[in-house]
Amino acid sequence: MVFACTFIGVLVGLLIAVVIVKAYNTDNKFKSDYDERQEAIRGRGYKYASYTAWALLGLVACLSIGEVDIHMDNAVLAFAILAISLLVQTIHAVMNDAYFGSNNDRRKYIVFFIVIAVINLAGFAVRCTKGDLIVDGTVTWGAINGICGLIFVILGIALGIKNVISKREEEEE
Amino acid sequence: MKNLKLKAARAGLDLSQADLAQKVGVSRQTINSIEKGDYNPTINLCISICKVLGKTLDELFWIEEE
Repeated sequence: MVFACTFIGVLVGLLIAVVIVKAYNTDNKFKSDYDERQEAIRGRGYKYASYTAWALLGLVACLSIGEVDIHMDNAVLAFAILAISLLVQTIHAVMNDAYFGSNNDRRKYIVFFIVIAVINLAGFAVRCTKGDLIVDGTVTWGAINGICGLIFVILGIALGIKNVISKREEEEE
Repeated sequence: MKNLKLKAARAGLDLSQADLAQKVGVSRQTINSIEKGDYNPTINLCISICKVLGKTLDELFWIEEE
């Protein structure tokens, strides 16, 4: 039952993301348009992200062999590794102006990110107040909301820093 | 190595980086990176830039050996 609900939740989330991506692209295409430099940078970002994921998975394997308890639900651990790898790719793309494509409506995307961050952090706060975030010394899957919210907060900070750098560059030009 | 020839040709036509970027279909930061020498464009992009600026590949992208 829990698996079915989770699966449906992920499907609904993906569906919403697809609809929003289409609505938030200025040409109503699903695909974002990146130029050749952006494509190259994004490719490099994926490479760094996969190195990060391999390193973290290797670390988890070593800890497991050494019988060191990580005190985390498997779902949280897997999601945390995904989140860190994703952040490596995302921040690399943001800092090199390869995050948004030419057909992306940046303002709409940023508003969407803020909404997602608020929803997830609110969910995380509810979990914290309920007190079921940590059960028997293990972080439960409720922490995934917190990780998700944190991803968007870090993304927002990176976008803000890059915006300041870009404005300075334009003034210098 | 900075591409001052590209910058001069662009400025000669009174185009901003954003204007040139829009005309060749890339982001402003890509033009900025080419001018700063941080990015080596493909031959296709070089040709597009040359066509917009009315210059040849040699005039904009050839590097004279010292």
